[in-house]
Amino acid sequence: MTHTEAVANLASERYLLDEMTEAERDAFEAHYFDCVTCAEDVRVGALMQEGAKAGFTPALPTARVATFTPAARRTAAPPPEVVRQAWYRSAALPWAVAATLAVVVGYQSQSSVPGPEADGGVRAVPTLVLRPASRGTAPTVSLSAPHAALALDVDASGASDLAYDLKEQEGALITSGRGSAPPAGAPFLVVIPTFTLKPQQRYILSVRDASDSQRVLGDYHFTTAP
Amino acid sequence: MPRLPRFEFDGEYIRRLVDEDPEIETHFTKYFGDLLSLKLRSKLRSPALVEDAKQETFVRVLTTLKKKGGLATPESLGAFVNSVANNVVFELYRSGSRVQALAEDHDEPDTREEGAETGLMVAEERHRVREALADLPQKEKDLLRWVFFEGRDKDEVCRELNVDRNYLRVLLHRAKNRFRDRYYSEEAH
Repeated sequence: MTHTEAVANLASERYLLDEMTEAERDAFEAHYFDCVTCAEDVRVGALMQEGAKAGFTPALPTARVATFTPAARRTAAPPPEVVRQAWYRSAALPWAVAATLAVVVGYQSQSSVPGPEADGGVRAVPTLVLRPASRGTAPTVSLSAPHAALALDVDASGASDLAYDLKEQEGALITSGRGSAPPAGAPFLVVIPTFTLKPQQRYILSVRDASDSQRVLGDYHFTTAP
Repeated sequence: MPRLPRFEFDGEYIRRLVDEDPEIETHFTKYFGDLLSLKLRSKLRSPALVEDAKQETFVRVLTTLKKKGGLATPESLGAFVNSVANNVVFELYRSGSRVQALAEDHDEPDTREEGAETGLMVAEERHRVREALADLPQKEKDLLRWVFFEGRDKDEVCRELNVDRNYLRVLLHRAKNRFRDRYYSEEAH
């Protein structure tokens, strides 16, 4: 095996992936013992492999997604949905950039929700990071997409389930529901059909421990775009 | 695994090796030790056997070099080490008392957990490896975890990513290049 052949055939990667026949493996070993460039390539690859085998490439924390329909339309409490955020279709986004990116979540549409989103499947949903009211000004939710995903920075330690109420600032209840508490470090995601929201309104999403209604974990304020 | 200083495998290198120059001896045993570990781990299941084979290879290579006073073609040192290792492995295979075939239902110990060593990564390097891997994009971490940690079937991984096997190698190639950059960047700090 020549160096050109080794590079062209991604021999180093095939070696790591254990995809070579015995003859190919012998030929590549004969080559990399003689080629400092390929030797270094194999050594680095093996080190990366060993790191991965040692568990140094953990998965992102799993986020909990709660979906809901408006109180007036709801026929049954929607179950919380656990989303395993595979990289090619979703991202549990770093907090600092989450507000500027779109997160794609598997969204199980409710049959009672009309509109083009009712066919279920995977959707790109604009995501907005919300922090408790005392920690910042109210961000603005765009109503241009069928859904808005709110990623709530919540400290849910000690709670197994969270309950939430979405109200207009004047106090009118839009909806309420509950979902499983996210693991430490992961956001609590609430996906809202935007048709339930009015433009240029201020809303408050209150989150509390579902088992202790007195334990309010945070009030999250947001406004809607014109 | 710090970046090793580069040496030309030439007559001078062989001469210094035969003369037991500490710098060259250290380089020789580290450079070829790593390569032998990679080669032998797929052929010998026991880490102890891998270590035995490495040491036996070193002894034979150095003995031969000292006896002959060098190599006719010094630049073929790597090929020479590889051929000696092949002979050592062959002899181990033939030695039924040292290498016993494993039963089909043999339950190989799970070596995936942190702390499992296969030869290259020593304690002081683990931090840098961990940091370098932590810096990879999540998609590449996921790929490495699926393939190497979870041991998922590669065809299944390809289906999930909607790529073919060749492109899986390309993804691994990119991850490796990124890992290399970060790993040596960590070393520089």
